[in-house]
Amino acid sequence: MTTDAVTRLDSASEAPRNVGIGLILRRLLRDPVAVFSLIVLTLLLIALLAAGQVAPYDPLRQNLRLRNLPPGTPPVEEGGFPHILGTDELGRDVLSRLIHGARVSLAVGLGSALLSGTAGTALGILAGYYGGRLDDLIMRLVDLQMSFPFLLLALLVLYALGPGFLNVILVLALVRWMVYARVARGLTLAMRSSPFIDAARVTGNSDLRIIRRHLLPNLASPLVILFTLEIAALILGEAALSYLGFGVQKPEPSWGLMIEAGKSYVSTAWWLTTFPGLAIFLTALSLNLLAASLRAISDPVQRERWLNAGLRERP
Amino acid sequence: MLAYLARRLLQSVAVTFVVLSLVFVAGRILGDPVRLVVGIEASEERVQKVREQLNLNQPLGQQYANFIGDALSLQFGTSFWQKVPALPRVLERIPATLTLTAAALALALPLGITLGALSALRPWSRIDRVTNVISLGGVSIVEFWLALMLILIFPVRLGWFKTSGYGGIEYFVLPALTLCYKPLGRIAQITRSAMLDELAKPYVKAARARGLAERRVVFVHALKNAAVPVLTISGDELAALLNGAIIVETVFGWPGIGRLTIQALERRDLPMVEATVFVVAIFIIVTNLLVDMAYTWLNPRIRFSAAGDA
Amino acid sequence: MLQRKILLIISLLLLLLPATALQAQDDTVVIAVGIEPVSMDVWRGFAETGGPGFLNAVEQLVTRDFASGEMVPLLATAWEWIDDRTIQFTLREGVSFHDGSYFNAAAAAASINHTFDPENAFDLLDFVGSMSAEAVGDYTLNVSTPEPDPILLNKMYFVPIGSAQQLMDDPDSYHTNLIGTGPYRFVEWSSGESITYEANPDWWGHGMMDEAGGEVSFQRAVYRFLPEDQVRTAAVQAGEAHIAQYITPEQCAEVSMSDSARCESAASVETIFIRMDTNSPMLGDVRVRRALQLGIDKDLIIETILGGTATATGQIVNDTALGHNPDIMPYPYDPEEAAALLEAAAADGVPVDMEITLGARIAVMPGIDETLQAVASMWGDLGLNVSVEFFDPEGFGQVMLVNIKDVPEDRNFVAVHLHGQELLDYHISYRFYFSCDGILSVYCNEEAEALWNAAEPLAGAERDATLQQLNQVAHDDVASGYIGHLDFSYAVSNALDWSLKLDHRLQAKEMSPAG
Repeated sequence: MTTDAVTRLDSASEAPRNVGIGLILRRLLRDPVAVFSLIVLTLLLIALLAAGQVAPYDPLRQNLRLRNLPPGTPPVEEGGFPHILGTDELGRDVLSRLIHGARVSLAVGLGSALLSGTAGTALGILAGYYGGRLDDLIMRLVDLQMSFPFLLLALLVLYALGPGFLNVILVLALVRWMVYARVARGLTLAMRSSPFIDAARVTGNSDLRIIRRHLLPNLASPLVILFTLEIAALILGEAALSYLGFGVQKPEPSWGLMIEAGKSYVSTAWWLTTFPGLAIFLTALSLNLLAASLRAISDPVQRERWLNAGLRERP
Repeated sequence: MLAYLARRLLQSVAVTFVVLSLVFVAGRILGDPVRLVVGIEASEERVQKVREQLNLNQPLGQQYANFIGDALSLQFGTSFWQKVPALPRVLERIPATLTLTAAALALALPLGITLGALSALRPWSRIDRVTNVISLGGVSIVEFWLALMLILIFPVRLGWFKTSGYGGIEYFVLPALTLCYKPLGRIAQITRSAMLDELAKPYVKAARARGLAERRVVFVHALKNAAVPVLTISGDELAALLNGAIIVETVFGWPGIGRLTIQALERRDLPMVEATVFVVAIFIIVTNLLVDMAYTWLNPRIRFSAAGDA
Repeated sequence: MLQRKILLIISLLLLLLPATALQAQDDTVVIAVGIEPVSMDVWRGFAETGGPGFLNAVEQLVTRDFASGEMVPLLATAWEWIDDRTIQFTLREGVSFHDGSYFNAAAAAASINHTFDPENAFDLLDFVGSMSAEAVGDYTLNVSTPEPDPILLNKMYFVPIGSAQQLMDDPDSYHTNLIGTGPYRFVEWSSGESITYEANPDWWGHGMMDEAGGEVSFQRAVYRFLPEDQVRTAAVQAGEAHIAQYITPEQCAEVSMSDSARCESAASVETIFIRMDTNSPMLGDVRVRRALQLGIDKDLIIETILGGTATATGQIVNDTALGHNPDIMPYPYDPEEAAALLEAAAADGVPVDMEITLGARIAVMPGIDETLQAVASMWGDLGLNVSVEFFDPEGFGQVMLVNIKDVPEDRNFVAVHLHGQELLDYHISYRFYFSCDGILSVYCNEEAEALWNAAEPLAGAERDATLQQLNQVAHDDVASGYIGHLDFSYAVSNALDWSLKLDHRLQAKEMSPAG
């Protein structure tokens, strides 16, 4: 075990083998999964940047006579665009609302995941690396955070700071930081007394350098995966907060709110909840696959397997 | 070890105290609980009368002193809402939540770890991709939606299990399935990632080279070393299940503590809120302590010192 | 190896399946209700939502015959007014409470006086106003009000009678144990789960076929709390419950297509109304208020969002109430006229471009989210500046529970809300929402106020006429807007014989197995 850690360190710092960017790109494009996630992410980017141009309908335009039309309903007006994903409980085009809702949902998901991820990871590493009182303090804060009811916390922030889009991100980050903190601390604890950290310390490296050079790279892959998992949780969390009066309010769309609004129709109009749910799933899936692919490329041992696996499975 | 436990115990008492104080303050600054007790069309005289009944007319300092005194003797007063002592009512609802949570975790943990390990063994294979979709589906799932779909498919269409209610195994299956999917997904993802890290390490190659059985290499050595993040996330999931349980309990009419908490909060039933937070805090503190103790068991290099050694 | 383990787990799960065959319990009726009661206080039996099934266990002195609209005997067999503040009731003899104590005038007086004791501060006191009772004979009871109250008899319909013995011996159990005289006795309240009643073989009313009696056809009646309407409906579809209370129009349509269940709907006492801050510079102008109402396509909202389960209206009470004015029609949908009115108001300097906040309480009724957004969109089409806001009960209380004197003039808030007029008297509805000092009133009109005061001591046809006149004045001044009187729907298993009455009470004595 002890020698393993040292060799692991060695392999991580080993110069990358000579694999050209071109090969990796070609390989990426040949991997249907990677292509799929790139396509999804590109579509999301288009939705973010040009929702108004690509959405076939005004996401707010109601037509009570066209409520809950199933997916694939042909356009009602002459020359209109078909309602590919159907219409919602007020006769609005679901696809157009999904496209417009992407902005809020992704901003909230990415924003709060970044905020909570950075803060949580930093605190977790501090707790695990230095131990003692600092560890106690940070981990008891985690206990505190986990014991305090989410609804009450949200209401407190709403009361103190008022409603607002940024406050949604803040509340969600406040609720989720401890997930990263606990994972980062657990891994740091397991690594802090390992010989390679000791060796680094003995050779006079500063704590900051040890953390940055030796700890962080070893924490990166679980934390990045956690990050992609958290995005989905946070996009859903946004709906709960909007329901309490934070952030975007109906009739403005967000994926979470669309699901919230469709809840009464699960048995009669499944598309109202299924498509925004699917959008969240695809976002999480693509980011996750992309993260895994990038990790595979950056890790020499995995890269080998990844390249081989792709070749083996090619039709 | 004993010194460590004693220190953790003291700290936990302090954490519980702080949480309860925060809840006390929050409950009293966030609107007027009396108005929610008496309803919207109540006269001012009645509001005053109820305020007296609930001892909410006393100065805040006095209320706080009473509250702390009561809490020290494990009393949280009489529920504003149900007019019964709050803590016994909360404790009465604990078994329903604990059995459901335990069932969900008992499903999620082995399945999640198995799926994750399977993925990690053959990264980028078909199995890996299928399990990835399954586990990310769990992460992105809307529990409300899943619960209703299960209800509409099984009891309504097929006549299997019960739509709702609390009782024997036929009542248990759907809520437990609904509740386990999200932690299953997260545990599978974290296991996969941690296992990939471990399997890439030279000692695995060395062990294989020494002719150790593949099963032993994967499931004994690598899995044990990968267990720290998996354990951490499982502890989190256990705590989160209490939250996830709110939705599942509401949909299935399950008489657990999650729904009680939400109702108490919505009605600003402060004694009930305080009693639920107290119970949940103890639950979470114990879980986190157990997770920390399990670290040292999994990885003997991890030691928690009795005093600050920074 | 692993695959085999998974297979093993799956097959273990499959083994559980046969154990779940439906067990029909013919002797139990199961009713899925939406809301768990706060406590088992006897007085909560005044409404089905706050006291599900309570009327199985507790009974009132009088009840209502919905065929004739008259009050008819229940625990009282006869009554007469002895002065303008007092009704003398002759009580039924040979009735006992479930705890074995006897029902007589002293017991009834103790129960009523406990319910209306200001020290107890129960909700019912606010709802029906103060009253007191006195036993003047073994079975003769006087009930009086501090001021003359022409609708006292109607109010007694909302006053269930509980055991006086319990109040004396074990007052704490008042909140957890429901003891009355009814056809079923209270057995158990499982927190978060259900209330169970069982048949009371000693009930006085067995076999009596008038409104007071009924048939005890089930050994047990279970009222289960299922907050989600879709799950309540599913429970009926899966044969686990006989009745699902309050389901949506979509669910109603779905249930109607099945063989095993049906949907029953009936008008309720709830009216969807639109309360406007009439002290703002914009909404203070009657033309603007009228324009807002003409701009709402009520029929379209009712037909689509509410699935036809409402009746468009122009007043806050329905036709069963005293003071309902049959000549008042709903404000028509006329966007051109609305635009013209707004233009005229703007020409006179009324700030019609002020932002209107249109708010409602979360989940106040099925379809409230859609209704609020639809209204906002229709007003947006008139060129008005509208924002939508949903409130939790606490937040809604804060914006709703203010009198016009305390509302800032620039608030310009409009609420879509439900008013329940259970007492069926316009005078009471007016007091809450329109009188100058009403605790929820953001309206004050001297002419109307005078009529309202004049109606207070009146009874019968005179009261009706004055209240109708008041209703017309308020309508002409657009004191408030309306969408409609709401119907409530139920999914009912075909295995059950039961028909919904206008009181929307779920009484097991009116239910029996089908066939």
